[in-house]
Amino acid sequence: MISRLLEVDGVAVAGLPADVDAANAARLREELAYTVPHGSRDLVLDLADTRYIDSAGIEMLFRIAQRLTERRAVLRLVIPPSSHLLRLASIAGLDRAMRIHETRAGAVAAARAEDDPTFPAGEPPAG
Amino acid sequence: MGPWRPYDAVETIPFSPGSVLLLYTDGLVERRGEAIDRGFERLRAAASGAWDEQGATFADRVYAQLVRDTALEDDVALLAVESLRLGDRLELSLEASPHVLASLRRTVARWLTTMEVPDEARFDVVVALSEAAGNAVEHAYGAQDAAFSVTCERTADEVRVTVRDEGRWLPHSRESARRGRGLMMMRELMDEVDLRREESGTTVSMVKRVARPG
Repeated sequence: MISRLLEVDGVAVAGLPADVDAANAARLREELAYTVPHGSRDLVLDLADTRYIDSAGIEMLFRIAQRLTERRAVLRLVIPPSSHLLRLASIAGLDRAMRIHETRAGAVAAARAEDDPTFPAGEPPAG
Repeated sequence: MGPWRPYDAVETIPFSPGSVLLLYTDGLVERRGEAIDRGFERLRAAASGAWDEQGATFADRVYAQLVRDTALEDDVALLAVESLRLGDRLELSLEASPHVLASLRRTVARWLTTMEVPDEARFDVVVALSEAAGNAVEHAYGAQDAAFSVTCERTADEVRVTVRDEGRWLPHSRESARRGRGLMMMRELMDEVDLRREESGTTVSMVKRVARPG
């Protein structure tokens, strides 16, 4: 269901499918709960390939964000500036409960910056 | 049926609305002691004859044409896939299952494109419609063979979408937070949202004002 789960520079990044809706939201949440590392690490969910998300999908994102907040971690969404999802995210208030990044590299860099205060914020790691 | 093997030659041809694709097994065209080309020719003639006929399905009409003169010697499977020409009104009847939502969104998005609805408005209508459909699916929770219907209409200056189901909105559903957000999204994305709850079911009717270009 999750199209890819990888670790980029120590940050867990999962790609979400084209449709995130009532048909797969519960399963996605389960998969993410199993595969996402514990502890106080941020999670990056990449919605670059996601075309539609419904209220069940949005509910799932809020719940994941809440769980991460309890662990003092941050849920980071990757939504390209050209995506219609950006408008939907603002209507639904996603932008207040989680961070939204334009690129995956930006999200990973921000996650690393919060993990390690010595890491420069906003820049992808060298190499 | 042998194992699947890739084809040596692949050609791409457009499958435009109003077209029909015929898929068939060899029994439809092969006759003992006859070159296969004659079989193809017979099928072509039958398909073009069936094209102008009325009644039955296209596959049935092709089949009737083919067996009119000669009986078939083998069992036959014949499938016709039609790409519907979309008009100003789209009517769909769907199984009340969350698994229909993705294909509903794609079908309606394609219809909206044909109706010259610009990209952003198309997204809004598709998301709002998907929310209403999601509610209809939820109403039918646990019911067997439940269905709901979707109607989309295009006029000169607006798009109207209606979702009807035969269920009732439960006042304190365990999903009420999600549903509240869904309703809020519908109201934000559309210009009018009308929600009618009756004994016989629930109807959500929504309007997006979007003029036809030109």
